[in-house]
Amino acid sequence: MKREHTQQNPVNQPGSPALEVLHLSKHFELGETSTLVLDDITFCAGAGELVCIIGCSGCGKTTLLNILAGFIPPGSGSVKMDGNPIERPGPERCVVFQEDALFPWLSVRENIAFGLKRRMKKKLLDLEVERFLALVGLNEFRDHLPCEISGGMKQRVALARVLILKPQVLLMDEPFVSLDYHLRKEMQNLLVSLWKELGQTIIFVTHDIDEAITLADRIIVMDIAPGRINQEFNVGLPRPRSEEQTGYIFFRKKLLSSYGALSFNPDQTTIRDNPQEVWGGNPVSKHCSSSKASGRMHNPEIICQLFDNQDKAIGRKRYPES
Amino acid sequence: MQQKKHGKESGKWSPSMLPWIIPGVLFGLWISLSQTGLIPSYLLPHPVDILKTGYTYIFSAPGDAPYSGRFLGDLFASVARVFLGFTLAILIGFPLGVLSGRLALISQLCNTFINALRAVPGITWLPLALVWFGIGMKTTVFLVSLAAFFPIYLNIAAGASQVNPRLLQAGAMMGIRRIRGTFSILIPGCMPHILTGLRLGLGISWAYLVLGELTGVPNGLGAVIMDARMLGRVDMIVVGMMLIAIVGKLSDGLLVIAMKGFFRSARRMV
Repeated sequence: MKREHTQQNPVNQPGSPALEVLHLSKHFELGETSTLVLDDITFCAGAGELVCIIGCSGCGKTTLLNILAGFIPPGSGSVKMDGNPIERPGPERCVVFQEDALFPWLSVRENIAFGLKRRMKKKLLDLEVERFLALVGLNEFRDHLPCEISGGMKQRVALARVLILKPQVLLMDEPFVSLDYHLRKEMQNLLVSLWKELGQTIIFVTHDIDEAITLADRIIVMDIAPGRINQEFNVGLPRPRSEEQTGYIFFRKKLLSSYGALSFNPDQTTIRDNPQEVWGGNPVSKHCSSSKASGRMHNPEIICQLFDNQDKAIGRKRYPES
Repeated sequence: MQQKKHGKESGKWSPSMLPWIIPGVLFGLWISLSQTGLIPSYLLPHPVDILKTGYTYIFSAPGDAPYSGRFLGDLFASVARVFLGFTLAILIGFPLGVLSGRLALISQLCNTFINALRAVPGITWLPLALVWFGIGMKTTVFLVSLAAFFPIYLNIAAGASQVNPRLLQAGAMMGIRRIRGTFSILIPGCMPHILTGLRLGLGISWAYLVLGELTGVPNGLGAVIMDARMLGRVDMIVVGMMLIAIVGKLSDGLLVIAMKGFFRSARRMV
């Protein structure tokens, strides 16, 4: 399955940036007032990388995701996918929404088949739908309507209906936020296993610190009002991750100190320490060389080194060795 | 779906009985009032007389009595007029409603005019329609389609503008372009509104049918009522009214069944 996927997406080679956001700013006009929602956002996501964007409510994460999806145009700056500017929504960049956005008049099976309908032969489509139904474990519920299944199942359908399109990039907007603790854990594990199998680039927006640490290759912390990138660092912990791991606790404390400070005092600047230290040692940054962004970064190199060995141990080489 | 399941369990009253209670009680009252003779039969005939007249009208051979044997012809004429007028209203109201619900330009262009037009009572169109189309089919079809247009247009425009934008975004990200999106997302997405609009439109169609037929057309259920008024046959007037109630109710049921038969979204969301 994995091989088949990489064949379809020849661009999806490790290390090359799938998504590139350069100096993105966005204003929203409301009457005569203009609010700056996103301020000079610069980051990129390597192909096959799982990036979590974390920030509190109102920091513009959903706006950022809407721009990446092509639902709203960027203000200034550029947003590119594989070097081409993003202008409109398309099946190569699929979104899993926070709220339930399944088609209520279609059964689980029909919802999953929706995007491929009329694009392949019915027999092939049926087989493909079967496969994705099995992947998300919804075989028994194939003929149920969205109103007849639980919230967790709905999000699994939402995941399956976009994964079947084999998107290169998956944009997820707090998809598990309305689920209870255990279900959320279950969905996170499912997401990681599907991602390992299918290997898309994932941009996962969340406000949940634990979710970010559990999932991410890299975490981007956003400031509130206006939304800008505050910190960015790699999480090199082996998967599956558990809350008891030393590394996990380390990241949790780290995120909690910056994120917690952010939510209570948005103007706090003390956490932007070490402005001189750039993250040049990190191979990911080769594609994004924004002085402004790097000026704000913590030094992820140290963290990378801390967990480098663990990364090697699980054989997950997402970046070329430097 | 779940509501249906609950409905079947409710109490010892069989739900299929419920709709008949109010007509039954009213009918009982009517019989007792007529029996006492408090109301003269030229104002409100005895129910038995009504039933007899109705039976003669519907089942007797032509020439047996006044109005006998005319029923099928009248019914056909009326149904044809309603069908034509209603279809015309859908053909104009449906696309215009969808466009106006989605495109600000169209709604700004149309809404003021349509709402002003809507304020004009339908009956005031009658003289003008008579001048334009003369007595008969055309006038009736014009009045029916005019009246049915407004609820269809307004409900579909409301439905199209209120459809969950996430559904349209979901379609767009799956690579569904506008035209296909309109048919496979937008229209199913506002199906409850569409059905409401069509049902209201069909209901008002029957009202305006009678208005159109009151003007002296030779056949039709409304024409029979008007004819009976001139001859002082109150029993026949009541029969005509009852038949319109029955046919109107049946057509509403048929509309719902047809919509549910044709559209998966109507079956599953309404």
